[in-house]
Amino acid sequence: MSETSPLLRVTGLVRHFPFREMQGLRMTTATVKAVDGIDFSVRAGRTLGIVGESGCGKSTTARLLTRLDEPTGGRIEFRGRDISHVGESQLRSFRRDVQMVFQDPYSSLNPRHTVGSILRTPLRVHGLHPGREKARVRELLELVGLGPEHANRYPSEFSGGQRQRIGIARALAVEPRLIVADEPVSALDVSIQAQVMNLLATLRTELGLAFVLVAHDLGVVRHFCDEVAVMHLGKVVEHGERRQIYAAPVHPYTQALLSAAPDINVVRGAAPRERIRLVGDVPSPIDPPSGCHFRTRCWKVREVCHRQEPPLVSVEPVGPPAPPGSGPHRHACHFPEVRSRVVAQPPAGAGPRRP
Amino acid sequence: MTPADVVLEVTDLSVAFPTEDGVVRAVSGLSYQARLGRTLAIVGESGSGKSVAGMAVLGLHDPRRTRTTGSIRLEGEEVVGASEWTLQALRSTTAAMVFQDPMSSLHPFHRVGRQVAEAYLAHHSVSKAVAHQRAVEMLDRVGIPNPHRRANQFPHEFSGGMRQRAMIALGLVNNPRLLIADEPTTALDVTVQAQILDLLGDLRREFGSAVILITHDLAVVAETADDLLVMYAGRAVEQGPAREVLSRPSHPYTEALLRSIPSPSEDAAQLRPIRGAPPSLLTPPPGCSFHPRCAFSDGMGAVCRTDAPAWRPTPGVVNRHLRCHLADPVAAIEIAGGAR
Amino acid sequence: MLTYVLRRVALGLTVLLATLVAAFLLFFAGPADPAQAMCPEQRCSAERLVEIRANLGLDRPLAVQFSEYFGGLFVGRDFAFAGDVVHCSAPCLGMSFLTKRPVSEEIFSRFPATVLLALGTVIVFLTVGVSVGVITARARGTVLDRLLIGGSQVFGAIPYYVIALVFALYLTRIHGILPQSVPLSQGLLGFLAGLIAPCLLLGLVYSAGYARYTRSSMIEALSTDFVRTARSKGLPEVSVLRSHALRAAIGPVVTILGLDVAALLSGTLVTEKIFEIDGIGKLSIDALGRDDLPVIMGTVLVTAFLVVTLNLVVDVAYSFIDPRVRLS
Repeated sequence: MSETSPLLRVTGLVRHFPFREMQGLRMTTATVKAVDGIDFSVRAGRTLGIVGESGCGKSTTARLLTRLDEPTGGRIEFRGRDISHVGESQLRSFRRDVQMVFQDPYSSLNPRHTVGSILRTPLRVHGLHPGREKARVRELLELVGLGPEHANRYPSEFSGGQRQRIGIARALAVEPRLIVADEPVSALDVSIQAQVMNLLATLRTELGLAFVLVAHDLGVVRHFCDEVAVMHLGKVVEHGERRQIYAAPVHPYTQALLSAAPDINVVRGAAPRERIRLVGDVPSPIDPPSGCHFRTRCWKVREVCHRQEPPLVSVEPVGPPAPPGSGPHRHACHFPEVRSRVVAQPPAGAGPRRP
Repeated sequence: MTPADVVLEVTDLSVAFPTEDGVVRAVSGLSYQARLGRTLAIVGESGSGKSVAGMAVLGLHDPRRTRTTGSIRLEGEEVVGASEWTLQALRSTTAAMVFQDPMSSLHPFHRVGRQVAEAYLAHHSVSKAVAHQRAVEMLDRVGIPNPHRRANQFPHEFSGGMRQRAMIALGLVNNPRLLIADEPTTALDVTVQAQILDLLGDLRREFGSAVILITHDLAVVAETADDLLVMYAGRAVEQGPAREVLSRPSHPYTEALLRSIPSPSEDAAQLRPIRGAPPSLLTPPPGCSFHPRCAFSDGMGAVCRTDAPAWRPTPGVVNRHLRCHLADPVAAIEIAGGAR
Repeated sequence: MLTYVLRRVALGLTVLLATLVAAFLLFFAGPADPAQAMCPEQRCSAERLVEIRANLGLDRPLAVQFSEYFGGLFVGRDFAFAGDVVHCSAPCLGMSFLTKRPVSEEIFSRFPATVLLALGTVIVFLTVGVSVGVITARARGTVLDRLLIGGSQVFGAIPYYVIALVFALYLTRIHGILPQSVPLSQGLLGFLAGLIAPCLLLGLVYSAGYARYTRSSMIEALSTDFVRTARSKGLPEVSVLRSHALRAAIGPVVTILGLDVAALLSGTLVTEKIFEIDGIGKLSIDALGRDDLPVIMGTVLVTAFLVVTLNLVVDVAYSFIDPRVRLS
């Protein structure tokens, strides 16, 4: 496997949930098209952020990437191997390589197991560090900023931020190459969010991890990710390098998202951003609109948008020059248009905030 | 002698919950004002006491399980210790509240129109038909399409954004002078959040009421609030015009909070989190409740550990207050920001 | 809404049919010999027994017997007894082995007593039980709450027959505070008056349970966000308790109510025996002791019918209470 081929590649990924319901006296089958054909790849050591609103399919995607769920269609390849429909026993080595960090620190740790037991279990399952498990548990706790004395306690004795650290330690126990984090900080207080994000960033550098971060907070995604994919109703509508997405978004939904996200920088003299307000509610993934799924809320909608679903196409990035090695900028819109003021312009002379 | 546009005057408010493990002091010594035509944001994390303080304004705490002291004057009427009868007259007419989760805050078994009309009927002697008409008008005013049809539907038939609009309609149906919105957009998607915040702003301008926005999101405050009050561990720690406080904070907690929030418009080299965690309200730290996490307390000697700082006007600026021992806090923070 | 009801009705009919088949198989394919049962004190000769079996159609195949029984439910049936032909009109549940009268007559003649007893009991426990539940929920943690709930727990711990006996003894027989029971044939007013004591007693005993269900349901309802919203509208507390809290809390109570009414309508044996009321409970127990299979079958079927119907009523009532149910 060459260095440039991706660690994780997803092609035409589909996950539909059929369900039966009573319509009058008859049973009908409806389908929730949670993920409806997405493609992307993640290279070693890189971070992909997936953003979108409720019903866009990002959490379902996270579960598919870790094979906690099986796709209805499409392909997931990890290190060149197709793992889309492989059975549990054959997923054993995959599970060492790809781990997940969950959103809710209060329900993702078994309350009846001690922290030490939670961390030892992956070691035992994969036969890692035989004979020196206790030492390894200590190492893991230290890695996430907890002390060895915490091993004998139960999750209920910890705060939300600490529990999330335990969850991260658990994910790291098997020495994975890729971590899928599904909203890892949204259940935490603001001041704790930064602690956990910093921890993830440090670990990423130290351990050379690749990441897929699923989140709704655009500030967190900008801070942490190299690339961003924007999902809407089961599809990727725009995907590109971080600064392209934020400085020169092309798809109207991305533009609306960025315009809607409140920005603390307005108090630092940032130039105000363009105001885009969508009218109406997020459509349901059970019966998405025909053609382009975004058309019901789009201000540019025309006849072709009703008929034809826009394909995901690659374009030359328009905004700031992309770092070498980044992928193409892709979007799915019949009438793309660069708008560079949907995000507040930072105050003149402002660079990265000094550490 | 308070100016005529002061709708709410809170003085030295404390709310405590006696529990088996001890007394939880959710709010201590809180003082602030809310003025007509202005949005006051009360900001804090979990345990800050912001929601408890908000509910106290309408007397919504169970008097058998709560000890409330101090003064809350709504248009001159005292709320603390008031009779249930007085409180019922004030609620929804003088001050109304919009809650965080509209799915659980609306009664699942009653139609939406009825729930809005009920608030109107409680305070006006009109027929049900008239109240229903008023409810439909309000639903229209808050931007719900097909208000006649929607009024006859149940909350679970509404989307999240529409439910919150319905709650706002319910809150404003009696033209209250003060609207308290407790985390009104936390449970909503960001595009819907923008719509709701716009709506609140428009309605505030139209009705001329005062708005108190309780939130943890400083970015929302930056964009929508006129005045800001920061709470930590049950106390107010900083207060002033929102833009000023956020661009030149005077309290170490405010400053630390600002530095830990990533922005969508800027690449930050590293987030600077606040060390430690919010304190327990059963056994708060001695002295200043923020001192274990404060970047400045080390250089201040023992005073931060031993003496709780008083609420005083912020030195060097106007119209601001803070609770901190730092002698020249704005400057100290600016210097520290530069050095870092 | 209509489709919801129709679906429930279809389901209920299926349950009834299954019950009928199961009961039939149990009784007529079971060990008890109906022919023996028809002969008191085994005074029949072997030939007589064979003759009885033939008359009852017991020598015919099971499927035939079942279809005759099933048909009889809708159009009636004729029975041959010692040369006479007796017509049993629809719904024909068979003939009692003991009294030789149609089972349906036996059951329905006792219905008024059982129904009125059930009705009176329900009225008592719905008013007393639910009110106590609401009061103690609102006054949770106070002395009143502890007294009432503690009292109801003690009350519920005493075996029912003890309470019933003591109650009946002291209130109706010894001190005559409440009138004793009187058969309907002796006049409606006396009959109704005689039901007061058992209704009160049974109602109070059920109230203990209903107070507890209502209390826990109300406590949960009182802590919900929508009750907080109701208070924030400035509604009077009574309104909040009734239209918001109780409305949300009453669901589980309605479900249990359906089951309890079905049980009450199938006859309450101990109460009927102690207060000397000739109801369905007494009928069932007597039939069981004497192997009067048609009566047993009949009471089983009637009970099943009541349970199914009342469950349907509860489901429909529930969908009025909780609109999310009817639209799913």
